[in-house]
Amino acid sequence: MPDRERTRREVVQMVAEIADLPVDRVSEDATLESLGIDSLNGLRIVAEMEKRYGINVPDEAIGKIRSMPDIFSLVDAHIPGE
Amino acid sequence: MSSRRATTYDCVVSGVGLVAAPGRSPQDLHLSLCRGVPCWPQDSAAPGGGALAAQPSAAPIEGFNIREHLDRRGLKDLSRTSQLACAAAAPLAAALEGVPPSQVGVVLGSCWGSLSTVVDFEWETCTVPVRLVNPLLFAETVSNVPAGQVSIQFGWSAFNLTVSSGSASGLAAIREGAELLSSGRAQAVVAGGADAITLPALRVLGADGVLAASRGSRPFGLARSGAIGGEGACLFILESPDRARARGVTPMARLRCAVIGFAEPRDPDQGPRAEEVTPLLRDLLDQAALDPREVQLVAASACGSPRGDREEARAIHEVFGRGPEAPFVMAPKGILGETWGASGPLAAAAVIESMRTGRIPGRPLGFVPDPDLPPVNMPPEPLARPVRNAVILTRTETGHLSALLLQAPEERDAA
Amino acid sequence: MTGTIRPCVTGMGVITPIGLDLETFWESLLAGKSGAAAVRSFDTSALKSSIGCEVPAYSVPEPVRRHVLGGRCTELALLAAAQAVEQAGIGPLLREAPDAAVVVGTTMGDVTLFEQERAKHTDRQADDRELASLAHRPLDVMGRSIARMFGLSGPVTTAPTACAAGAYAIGMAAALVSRGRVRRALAVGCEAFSRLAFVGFTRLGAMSPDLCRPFSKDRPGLLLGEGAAAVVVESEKDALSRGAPVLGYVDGFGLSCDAYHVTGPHPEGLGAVRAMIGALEEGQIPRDAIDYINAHGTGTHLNDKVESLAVRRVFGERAPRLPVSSIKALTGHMMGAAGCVEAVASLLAMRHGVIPPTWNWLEADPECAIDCVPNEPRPARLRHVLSNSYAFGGNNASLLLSAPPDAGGPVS
Repeated sequence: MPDRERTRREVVQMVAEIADLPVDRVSEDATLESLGIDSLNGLRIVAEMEKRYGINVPDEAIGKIRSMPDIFSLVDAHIPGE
Repeated sequence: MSSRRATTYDCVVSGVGLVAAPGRSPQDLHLSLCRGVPCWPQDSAAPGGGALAAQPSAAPIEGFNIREHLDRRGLKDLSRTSQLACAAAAPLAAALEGVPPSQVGVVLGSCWGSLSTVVDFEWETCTVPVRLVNPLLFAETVSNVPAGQVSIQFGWSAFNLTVSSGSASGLAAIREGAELLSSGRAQAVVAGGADAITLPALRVLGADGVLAASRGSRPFGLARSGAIGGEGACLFILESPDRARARGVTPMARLRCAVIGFAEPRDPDQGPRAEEVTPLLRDLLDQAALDPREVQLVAASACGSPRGDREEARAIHEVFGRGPEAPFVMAPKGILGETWGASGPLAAAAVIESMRTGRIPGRPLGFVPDPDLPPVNMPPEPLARPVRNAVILTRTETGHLSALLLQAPEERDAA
Repeated sequence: MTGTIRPCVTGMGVITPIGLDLETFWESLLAGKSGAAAVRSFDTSALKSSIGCEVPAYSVPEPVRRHVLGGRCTELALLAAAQAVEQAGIGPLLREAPDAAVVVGTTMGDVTLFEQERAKHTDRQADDRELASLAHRPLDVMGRSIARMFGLSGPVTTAPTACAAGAYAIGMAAALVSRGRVRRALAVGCEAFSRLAFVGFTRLGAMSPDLCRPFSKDRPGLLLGEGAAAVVVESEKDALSRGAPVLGYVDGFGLSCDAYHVTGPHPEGLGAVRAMIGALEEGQIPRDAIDYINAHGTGTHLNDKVESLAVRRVFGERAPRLPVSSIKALTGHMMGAAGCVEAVASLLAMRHGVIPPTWNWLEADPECAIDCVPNEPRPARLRHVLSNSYAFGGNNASLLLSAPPDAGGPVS
């Protein structure tokens, strides 16, 4: 499985965990609002991604993360070999 | 001398929700008290479920899972205190049918708040970079958040209040709820207490000598050496008898009178002395215009404290006398452990169940009375006796006192 | 109030970042003297922000010290309580009739003891003693210490209702007096500067890196503060019969819960609206009689926007002309103490006939379409004031305070 694909699965799983939803309810194009993710849980997701992938999300960027594609784009740039 | 302290209310209890070691209904609770078997393993070498259960002085609610009480998202990461409070509140939502949620207020009593979350959060701030610290954990450290979560889950928005006075918190919250109800601030009030037992609290209490040295501890008993740390949550619906009748609900009990007080302990191992407890109990009876002999059941606060139990036994003896006409006494902490903010409301829930069933719990199995205490009228076996008036007392080693007088519902209360 | 007795305030005390007594506190409010400075209580090098509003060095006299059952929060509470009892002149009375009530509001209580103890240990499991200081953490330790100091035997209630707790304390104390449950009550709001709250608010993205600028456009956020305030509440009749000066009245206590989100306000301010209306209705005064609102005004984008919206919803056409100011620009957010300190500021404003302004204000924010009394004290005769406090858990409280008979200021 390509790294990108695997990472996306991990991210979906992590978002599902924080949103307290089954994984199959988190589609790859969902908005965070539609998943019932509030600003507190948004912060938790960012922190979790920073922990796992060693990325650094600037504060100004946090407020602009509104959907799953926004989250993917944060990690995509950091996947080795891509 | 002091002014009047106890206050009478025109208020009924029209719903009870609880979660405790013996189960999740007043029936489970009462049955467990009648069986007389403590909720913690009697074999001190018994393997427990994890660090908490392995503590010799702990009676946790084994296998508590919020999802079994309230199947909603977003609850799994809340503090245990928030979860226990929400679990106890869950059955009350249906029982409040006909009352707009905006007309329901919440008062929660808690001794520890979310202590374990405070410890976890502090640890996280020491071990991970600040930008990675979980912000939800911080929110959950704040002591009024369990009550806030109850309001969020059920939309009860008239008001939201948390009170904290050690193990007296739960009855203090019920008294405050009755005050706010009678002030016209809400049509109904959800009031009671919640506390989670946690490793840090157990360690502190163990170091302070508050906890029992062995699992055989018994309130008012010969071998008592301290408390067993328990946990739980118990919430009541309070409303006026008229409103309950109007929405077709038959009350479970009348909250006739309540009192809170404080007596600076001269000795921290002893708490308020009998002489400081008796005026409050007498005032409670006076305001309700009851003779002590008209009370059939007293739920005591005794937790197994060597000196505290003695003062309480003296106070009960002094106010209620002895002999065949004296009320029966039960000590729920001998079965549930010390459940802190939940303890008073859980005792009150058991009393209400005694009113309904006409059955008074007996002594815990293996109980040996302390011959050096004034005799406490705990029946050797469960008894069939009608309970019309009952007093519930909570008393903390730190000086807080709170007590309720509950009456069985009257014919005219029936919907 | 809901009862038949009118509760009044006869004594006040404050320990704040901008003054350790009423006089200094009031002078600082009018002079714009800020309590903001580099944090001294703990190391902030790992944190983005290093500014807070701490109480300057204070001493605890021995007669007070021996009643301190907790840590810094208890010290602050006792010092403020001692001032209030002194001003009210009820010390001897409390010895004669010790059944006065104590009502304390706080957020974190004496959590700093725990922090200090933990700071000495790097290994969490090191030993059990590391956690022993938690024994002092029970939230009621300030109330018990106060009762002990004055030898009181009335009810000791602690309302740990977070950032609205100080207002809850005053409202609950006034309700006890108004309903004849007690003759006198001591209400105290208190908070000590804690690393936990500092990190917590940092993680919520609520902290300003430099100044706090309530209601100003592009405001950077809140600053944390600490402190305590105390008020003596008794019946007007009792105060008059013993010849005590009345410093103001507590005429309404509005409560509500957002039941919406654990940390954020309801976006339309519905809870805040209901709390303000509740206080007005309890005091049975028309909306037009409110001459000033002491705002919660934390300086965060969301709070100030929503609070402004709520004021507009309650006061309608009059809102843009109604003075609404926040003293948090100077004191920082004193959390559990804030509501009590701000009620004291409101009572002082009525007494002196001057509105303490919102300092540090730079530019009007269209989302805060209120008169925030920017940067300059404003003389005014104030008859009735609302003091707003909002907290985690959606706990909202508004106090309706009324002027003492000898209130100053020009009639508009």
